[in-house]
Amino acid sequence: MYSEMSDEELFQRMGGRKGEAEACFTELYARHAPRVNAYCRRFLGDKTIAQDAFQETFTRFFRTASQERSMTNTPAFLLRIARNVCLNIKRGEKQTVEIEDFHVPSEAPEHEKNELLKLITSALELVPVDYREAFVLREYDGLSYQEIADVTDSSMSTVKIRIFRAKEKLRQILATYLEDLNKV
Amino acid sequence: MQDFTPSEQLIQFLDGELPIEQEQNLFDEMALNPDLRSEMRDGLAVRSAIAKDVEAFTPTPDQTRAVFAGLGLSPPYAGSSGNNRAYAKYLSLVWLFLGLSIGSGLASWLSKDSFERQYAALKNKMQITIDGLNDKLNSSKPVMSSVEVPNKDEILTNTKEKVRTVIVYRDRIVPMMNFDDHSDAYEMNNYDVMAKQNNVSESDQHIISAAELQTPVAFNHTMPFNSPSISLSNSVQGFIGLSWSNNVGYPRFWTQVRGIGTLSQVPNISINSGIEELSNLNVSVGYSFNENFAAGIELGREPFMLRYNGIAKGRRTLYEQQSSMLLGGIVFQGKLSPLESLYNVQPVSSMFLGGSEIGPLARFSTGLQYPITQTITLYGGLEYSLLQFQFQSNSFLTQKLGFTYGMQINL
Repeated sequence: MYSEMSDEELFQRMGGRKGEAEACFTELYARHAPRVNAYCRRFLGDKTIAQDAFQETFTRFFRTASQERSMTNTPAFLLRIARNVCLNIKRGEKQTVEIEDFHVPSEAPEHEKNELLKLITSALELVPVDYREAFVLREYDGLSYQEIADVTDSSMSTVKIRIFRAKEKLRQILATYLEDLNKV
Repeated sequence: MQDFTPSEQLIQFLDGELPIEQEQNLFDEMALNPDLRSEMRDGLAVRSAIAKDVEAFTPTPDQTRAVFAGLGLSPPYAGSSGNNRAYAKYLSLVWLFLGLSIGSGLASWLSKDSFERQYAALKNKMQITIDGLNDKLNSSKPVMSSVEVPNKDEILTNTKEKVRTVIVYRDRIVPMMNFDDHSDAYEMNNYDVMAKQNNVSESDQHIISAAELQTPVAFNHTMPFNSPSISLSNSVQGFIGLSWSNNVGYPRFWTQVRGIGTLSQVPNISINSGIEELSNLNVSVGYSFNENFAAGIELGREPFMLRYNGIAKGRRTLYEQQSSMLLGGIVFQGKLSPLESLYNVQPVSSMFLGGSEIGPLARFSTGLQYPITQTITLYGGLEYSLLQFQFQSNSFLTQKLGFTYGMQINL
């Protein structure tokens, strides 16, 4: 029953009685947890911190439902919460990684057997936060430039520039590998 | 209007953000500029790699548990916690163990019961014969006063000594139907797995990596519908077996090994990788209680077509995969008496009840056995398998129907 409902309807019902609220939240979680997780994981880099941000995002989302009755764009709303949580975390930490320190972790997790993916995730850490965020929202969350502008409270032109710069930077870092890849 | 470099235009194009009127300029530039073409290849390679970033897109069960526990809610699925996930992992083994245990227990019980009945029947028959003889002779001194049959232990010992070996060869033909509409799935990449998103165009198909899909067990979603599907594979699967029989006219003890020879096989991914070459191997060991009934246990590894729905990356997705998996359980076999009017052909039916790595499995087969000689028997029949499994808390069924044929040699 709940899987047939729209995000808006589910969000509205989340403010209702407990059983229904729980079921609606479960459905919304199933729909949007992957993209929220992708945003936190790739924007923050650190797995443990990303998991905290992920949990905090959904906690805030659940609590918001009891205060607000309508929601027009749940994914964007969730990503905005995630963004606030992640930026708060970012503000509390120091950026210490330099380009010279770039290295690929020697022990890659099982899921990162794809070498290029391993390089991308490592290289992303070297991309400035603003650029990285735009890149993650575009490539991982599949948002359009306009949606990214809405989520990040930026102009379209700013979003475009950030995406261009992020991709340019990534391409620079991965240049050698991509060159080899093209030769194959 | 902002002026963008060709590289920036390319990025916009790949992101679907380049205005249509600017596309031709970009294509013209790409035709002349090899570096730009190279950039496009790089961009596509990066995007393709990101699509396989399973870790980023998949919240762990512990994350889900933490979210729900933090809100005082119960996790949405059985596999939400680390412990439950571990439990789910061992559930398949429980199925196998249960099937094998029940099979061996039942076989043991039935064999004892059957032997007792046969012994009593033999004793009774002999007593009747002796009484008849006594009546006919009308003698004051009976021929025999009581039944003198060997004791049970003696019979059992003799039976064991007279066990003979039987070699069985069988093939199984299973026509393919399920993936006809998506035969390109096997050509699109090495994963042999396709996920087609609902409500999107064919060109926007999303390929899920094998790592994402290898185990279709519950992890995070509830859907209101079940989706049974008929899955028929076109593999011709070999069947070679060995069994042992005694002198009672039917194989008393038998064991079968099948699936060694494979003439053709559709590609498949394993639920658990590592022993791909054993993806179609079944071994069964059984006991014939009389000429008409046998029971045993079967253990093997066999591919099944799996078709199921789920949520991936926030979108409803249809998954199709062929996976080989361990299976085990009890098998019952029933035979009618040979039809003398039809060259001693013997109708045979069997039923398998047990489990696989992902859920319970039932199999029914029926066919005919034709004895060419005392030692060689031909077999042909139909086989139907029904497998139930779960994905994201939803239950799905897959079915397999095929024709089986084979040969049995009693040594």
